[in-house]
This record gives sequence, C-alpha cells and structure tokens, in this order.
Amino acid sequence: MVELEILIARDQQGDEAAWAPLARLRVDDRHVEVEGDQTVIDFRLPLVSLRTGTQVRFEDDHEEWARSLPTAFRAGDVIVRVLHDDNPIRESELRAAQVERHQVRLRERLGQHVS
Amino acid sequence: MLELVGDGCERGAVGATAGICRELGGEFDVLLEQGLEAVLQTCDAFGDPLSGELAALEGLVACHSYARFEIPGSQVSSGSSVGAAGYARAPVTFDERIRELEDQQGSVLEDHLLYERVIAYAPAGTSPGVNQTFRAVLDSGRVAYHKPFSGVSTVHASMFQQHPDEVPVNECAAWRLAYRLGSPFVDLVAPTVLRDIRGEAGSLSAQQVGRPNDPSPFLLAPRLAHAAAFIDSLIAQQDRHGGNTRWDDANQKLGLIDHGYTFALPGHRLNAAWFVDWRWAASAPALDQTEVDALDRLLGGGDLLGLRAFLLPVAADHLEDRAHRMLAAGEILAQGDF
Repeated sequence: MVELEILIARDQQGDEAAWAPLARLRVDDRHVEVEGDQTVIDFRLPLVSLRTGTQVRFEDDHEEWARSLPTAFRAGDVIVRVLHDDNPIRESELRAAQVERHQVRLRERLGQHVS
Repeated sequence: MLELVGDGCERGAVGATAGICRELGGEFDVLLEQGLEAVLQTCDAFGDPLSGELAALEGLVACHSYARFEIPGSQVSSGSSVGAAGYARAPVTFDERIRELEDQQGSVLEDHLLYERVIAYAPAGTSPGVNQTFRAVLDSGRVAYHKPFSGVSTVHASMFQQHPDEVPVNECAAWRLAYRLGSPFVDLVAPTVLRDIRGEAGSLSAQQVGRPNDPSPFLLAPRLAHAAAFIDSLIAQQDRHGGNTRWDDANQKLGLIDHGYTFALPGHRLNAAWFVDWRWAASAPALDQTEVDALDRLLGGGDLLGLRAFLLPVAADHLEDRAHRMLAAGEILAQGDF
C-alpha cells in the first residue's frame, strides 16, 4: 500500500514553508482512494520509475505509479509527500550514471540595481 | 570529408581534426588526417556505449564521449546517427557557458529574480532520487523557486539522459528562448535566471500562479495551448504533463514550468508531451505565421538568439536542426522527435 498527500505551498515564515493539503491518495493493487481535490491527480500521467528506470502507467502498477508521483511535481509550489509505503525504494536501489559534477560559482549581483 | 570537433567537455589537448568518413560493408569507417590526443569525458549520462564506438576511431582515446558524428544516410553500427555538418568552433568549457548565460541575463522581467534580496528560503520537500527545490521569498514579497545545481539528482537526470549540471542551464535556456521570441511565448514560460542563494548556485524561477493538471487551456485558451505545443516542440521538452503547467483561471493565463529536461537529443527519453499530443490530435500541427516568424528570427542571427553561446554545443546544433525541420515541414515536430 502507498499513501501520499499532495500539498500546496502557503505563506512562508522564515526558512520553514507552510503547506496545505490538496489531496490524499491511497492505493494498493486493488483499491484506489482519493480524498480532497481529485483533479490534481491525473491517473493518465506516465511516470518514470526510479526503481526500474522505465515508464510506469497507473493501469500497469498502481503502487509503483503512486510511489513515482513525487518525480512529477518538481517545481516546488506543489509537492508530493509519501506518508506510507509498504515497499519503498531504498537509496541502494537508485541507479545513476557516473558523471563528474561541476562546482558552479556565479558572480555576485546583489545590490547592483533593481528595475 | 568530416571534421571532428569538441563539444566543450574534453579534457586534454584537443584540436580540430579532418578526415574522410565512409561506409563500407555496413560499417562506419573514418580515416583521420591527424590524430586526436584527447580524453573525452561524458556530458551524457548514458554516454558509455558511444564511448566504445569512439575508441574505435583511430587516434582517439575515449573513456566516455558525448560527441556525435552524424552522416546523413549512413548508420553507425551501434545505431547512433549523425550530421556531417562538421561544426567548426572553439571548444567551450562549462564555466565559459555559465559566464555567457550570466552575461545575457537581465531584463525587466528577470531583474527582481537577479537582484532582490531573499528574505525567506525553505526546502520544498524532497524524496530520494528527486531534485531538491527551495521556495524563496523576495524582498517585494514575490515568490520564486530555486533549484541548486548540487540538488539535481543524478539518478533522476539519468532517467532523462541528461547531465545533472545541464538541468538548471536548460531551465534558463527555455526561458531565454521564449523571452527572445517574444509574444505569445514569453508569457508562457516562467522567467528563470541563474542565481546564487546562500552559497548555492542554481536556477531561480518566478512562481507561476494557478492550478496544475487543469485542462482548461485546451477549452478556454486554445491559442495558448497551441503556442505551448510550439515551444515544447522547439525546445525538445521531454516531460510536459499537467503537473508542470499552471492554469490561472482568474487571468486566463497558462504558465509552463519545469524546463530542466529540455533541449534533448535524438534518442533521449520522452515521458510526456501534453500540448504537442493535443495539437497533433487536433490536426493542427501546421505552423502559423507567428511561429514561422519566430523560427526565422531564431535562425536569422547565426547565434540562435544567444543560446548557442551557453547551450551544450550539440544541444544547440539540434535546436537549430529542429527549427530548420519545422520550417521545412511547415509544422511542429511529432512527439519525441528531438
């Protein structure tokens, strides 16, 4: 079973954001339950499974699809928080290409001007 | 005749090398005029298979490579394709591309992102394998989202065959292209700049107001959905779905966000193409005059409206190629045609 909630950012005080729930999704291989705003969850959306690296569709695997839903909300104003997962993806399962990362340093711009 | 050039990711001595390229018995063959003494490092998470192929080229020492050598009508045995354009240019380093992007930034639509003080900065939730994002509140009260280079998940970038350090650059490139193309595209894409916040360099995108996953644009503002399909086709968007769109019902405004997995190369993964699919399904792939004019402007100046200076060279080449193909066909490209 996978249970998650979709949250939207609210007013922020300092370095801690406040979040309000939009919807909650609970799925297992036979049941689907949505509370709240059902329209924010598009069950037709294809997702990329971090576990397998392949595309997963809801109709193929309810739980793996729900588990992968956080990858679809990357912008930061709307996020997915996993509340429960019977079979979570462990860090050791994540596979990534070996790439060299750059140390990026930008110019100081603050205080130059504001339009 | 083939000219081998770097793509900015080489280490060691690299020089342009001329040679003859031919296909013999179905095999790709190159006779080089002089050897390269370069060790190529990958800019492509899935570059390993190609590196072996490059290692077979005489005189080239390859551990990984991102370079592509394309010959129209010919097939490299591994299935890679190429263009014999022989792009001649000086190697460009990643740092040089970042400097160039910084030099181009700055406009009335971007300056608040560049110069306003950040008064609040909070992590916007994260899961293992998912890119880190921070919610930043600026002096004026406006909200923006910061994606540090260091927070881009190599795992997730690998899924889209992108180098993680290109993800924030792509975010900015999509905006800069929309900005330079003007209306209606500039109104769709979230203004995005590179900015350092609390010692972390990353992309900073203006908040787009509205709801995700809202199909209203298709019904209420098809002109905007039409333009979104054009821009997604041009930037080779790999993952456009309802989750990275925002529909502001009060203002009838469509916002496109999340452009990290764009400027894809042929063969890269496509996950979703919401607007492109819709436009093709509506039998409306034909370019309108605004789009033709936009492509003419993109191709007219020789530098892809500034993008050639900071995109990965191979990504810039394919942007140019897509624009040419769209103009030639008179329509947007099909989904996944990068």
